[in-house]
Amino acid sequence: MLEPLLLGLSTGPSCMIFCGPVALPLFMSDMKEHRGQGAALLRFLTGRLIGYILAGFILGLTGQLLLNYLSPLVKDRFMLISYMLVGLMMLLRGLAFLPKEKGLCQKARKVMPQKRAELFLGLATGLNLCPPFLAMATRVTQGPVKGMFSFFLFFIGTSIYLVVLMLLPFLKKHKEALQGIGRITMLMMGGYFFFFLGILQLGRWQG
Amino acid sequence: MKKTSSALSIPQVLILLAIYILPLMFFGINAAGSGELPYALIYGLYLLTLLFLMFKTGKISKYRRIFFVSMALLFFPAFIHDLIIERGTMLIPQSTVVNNENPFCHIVIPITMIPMILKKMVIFPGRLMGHYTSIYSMLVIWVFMTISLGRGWCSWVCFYGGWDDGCSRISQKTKLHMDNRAPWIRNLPKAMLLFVVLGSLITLTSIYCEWLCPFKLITEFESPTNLRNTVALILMIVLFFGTLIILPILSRRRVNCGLLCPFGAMQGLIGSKIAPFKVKMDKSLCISCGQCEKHCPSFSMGKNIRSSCTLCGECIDLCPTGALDIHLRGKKRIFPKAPAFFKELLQPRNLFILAAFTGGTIISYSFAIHSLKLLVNLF
Repeated sequence: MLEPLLLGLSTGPSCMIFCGPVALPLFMSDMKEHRGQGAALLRFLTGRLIGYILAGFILGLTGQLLLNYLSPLVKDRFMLISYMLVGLMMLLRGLAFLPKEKGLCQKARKVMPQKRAELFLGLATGLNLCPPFLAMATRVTQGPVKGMFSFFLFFIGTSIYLVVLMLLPFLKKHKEALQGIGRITMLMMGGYFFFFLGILQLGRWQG
Repeated sequence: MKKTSSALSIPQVLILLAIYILPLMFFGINAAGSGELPYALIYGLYLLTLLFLMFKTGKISKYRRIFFVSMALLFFPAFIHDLIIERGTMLIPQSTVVNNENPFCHIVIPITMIPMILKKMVIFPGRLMGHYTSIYSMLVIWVFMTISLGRGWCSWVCFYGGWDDGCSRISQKTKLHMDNRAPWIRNLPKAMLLFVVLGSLITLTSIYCEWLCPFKLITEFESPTNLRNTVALILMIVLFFGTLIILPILSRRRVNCGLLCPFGAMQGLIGSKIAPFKVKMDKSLCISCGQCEKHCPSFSMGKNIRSSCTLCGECIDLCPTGALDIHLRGKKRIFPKAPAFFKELLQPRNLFILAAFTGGTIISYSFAIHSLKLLVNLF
């Protein structure tokens, strides 16, 4: 029963390689006090948990059937769509920080407020087919309830490493600079996910 | 208050040149062994002349820039020639990537560090050791230069920086105003560093090399045989002409080195904290004329001198009152009780120039004389 938890703990650093590039600019771009940061992290983790529970349910329901069906090409396509969605959300959030009152920036502020971005980006990282996720997926075979429970334990194991983000409020002396850096990085990462990891790889749809 | 001259007397200059000549002789002996002695002598004489003029006139920036631009221009003929000898093309063949034989360059250092720590892997397909462009040799050079020069690397040692440094002084007037104090200008270099580090973590490849390096145009690049490589090639051309030539000419700033280079940003964060030399302002002498802020090529002058200062000497030369100078961690002069002759000679600025010029010489000597030989043979 402890296997998913231990797997989460052991693959957590690798998990950070995939979640960190999304989470760090997201939290840097809107730095808060300890309590606010805790709430923001909780929203992000809730999104992530929903993603994991969903994955646990589907994988538990279909068992190895789905995993067998998930040929590298299908996984590739799923990742492509997921990167494009993450990129789009990050781009919108980045645009929302620009000081322009009208146009795209104003629309971005409406469509992607910070709290929504935290939840949805958490969800997107929860559904990311990264190596630790796939390692966990191969171990879910015994029905949807057990699948969800296994993924819940896996979530606990990997999320411990994200608690590092609670250290951000300690850097409040540099808040203005860090926020500025985070906002530009958010736009750049969004563009990278959407265009370079998404659109440009669409040629691979042909197989 | 009028600025006191920093020019040295002939005996003082000769003493400093005598110290500098030691590494020159070492390279001369090496060059003699490989039949390149005449070119080594030409380059050595050229460097000695520049250093002599720098000390004799007390003007740092002008002669440094001549050295820096020549270093950048002499780098790529030798590099491309070596590539063509080794693999027959400037294009990166798949075999080079598979066999980890790509030349390693210092700009990738900040990108490779975190995966090295987290995953125990080098995310650059380069040789670990046993070659002059190997990962270990570049890391060793970087550590020594960073400890001694800090971000001075970016104006004295980097063999790429001469491109936008030279172009930033082609035009006499600023045609595109880039405000040093604008928040986006202050934050962009660090954001760029964070972006390439995080982005490279996701794919475990250096995304700077793949998409954002303008210098690939004069070193090596992938064949545009598919959409991905074609886009990369277009980006590379746009970045080369845009950030190294056009924008520096229009703005009179080093746009690529000052805003977009991740290595420069890392040097600003780490190097400027540990290096012994830094530019300091004597506020009692400052008349707030704004010359330093207006002309600083690396966007480093605002209310204060930022950690992104590359110690290029531009502000020191321009300051009408001598409020700006190179200091040795808070000390303007060392050996204050020494006779005037030695006190002047051992000013931190002279020691820095000597160290930085020697650093640039160590890096450039081999490829510079190689390029000189190639150019002479060509004509």
